[in-house]
Amino acid sequence: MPKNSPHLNLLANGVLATELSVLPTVRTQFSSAMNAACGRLGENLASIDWATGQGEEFMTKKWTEADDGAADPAEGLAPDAQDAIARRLRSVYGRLVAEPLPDKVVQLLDELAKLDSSGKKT
Amino acid sequence: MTITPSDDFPQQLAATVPNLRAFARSLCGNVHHADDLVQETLVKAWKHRASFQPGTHLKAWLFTILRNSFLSEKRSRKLEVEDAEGTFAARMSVEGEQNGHMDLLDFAKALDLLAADQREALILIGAEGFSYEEAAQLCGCAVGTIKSRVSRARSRLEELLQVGDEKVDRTPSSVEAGS
Repeated sequence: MPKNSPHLNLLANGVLATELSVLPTVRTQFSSAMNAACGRLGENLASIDWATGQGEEFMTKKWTEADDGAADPAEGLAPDAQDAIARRLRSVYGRLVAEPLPDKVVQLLDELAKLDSSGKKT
Repeated sequence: MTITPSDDFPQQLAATVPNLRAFARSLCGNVHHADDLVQETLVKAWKHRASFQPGTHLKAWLFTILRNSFLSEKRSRKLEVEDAEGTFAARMSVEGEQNGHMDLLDFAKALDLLAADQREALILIGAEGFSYEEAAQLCGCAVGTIKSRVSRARSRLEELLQVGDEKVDRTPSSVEAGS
C-alpha cells in the first residue's frame, strides 16, 4: 500500500476515532499488552496513573545500557544456583592461576628485580 | 608531584603475575598470546611505575594496563579473539575424566560459550574478587553495566548447565493466583 494512500488515512482516522471513543479501555488494554510484551517497560507503563500522569517520569528518563537489566546480579537466581556457579568458577579459574609461569616470564621478572636492586645501589 | 613506588614493587608485581596471566588467557584465548600480553604489561608497568600510587590497588592497575594493551592490539591488527580452543575447557580437559572433573569440564565449556564481555565481568567479580566499582573502572563502563553483565552471565550459565535440582521459577505467581 502506498505511503499516502487514502485507504491508509481512512484506517488511521478510524483507529483514532475508535481510540477517542473508548479511550480509557484502550489505555488499559495498551498497558496490559505492553506489560506482557515488554516486561520491565510494561511494568513501568502499568504503574502510571493515567488520570494524574503520576509515574510518567521514566518515559523521559535518558535510557542507558546500565539500565538494561542492571538489577542486582544476586536477583533472579536461587542462592544454591549462585553458590554452585561461584564455586565452580573459582575452581576452574583457580587452575589457570595455579599454572607454573613460563620461563620467559620468570626471566623477565628476574631482570626487573635486578634492575630495581641496581637502581637502589646507585 | 612525583610518587615514589614502594620498595617491594617488584615483589608485588611478581605476586600478581599468575592472576594477570589467567586473566590474559580468558581475554585472548591463546596461551602464547597471553604470555606476550603479560610481558608487555610488566614492561609498561615498570616503565610507568612512578605513576603508580602506593597503597592503591596494584592488581587493578596491572589488569587495566593489560586490558588496554589487548584492546589496542585488537583494534590495530583487527585481531579476532582466538577462542577456538576454548581456554577453560582445554584447561580442564588436561585432567581427564577424574571424579568431579566432568562437572567442572561442563562448567568450563559453558564459560567458554559466554559472550566475552559477560565472561570478563563474571571473572573480575566472581573469580578475581574485584568490587563492582573497581571492575567498572577497569572496563571503563558504568557500575550498572558490570552488574548487568554479571547477572546475564550467571543466568546464561544457569541455562547452559541447569544448575541446581530444579529450574528457577521466574513466573510471577501473583498473576496466576489472582486470575
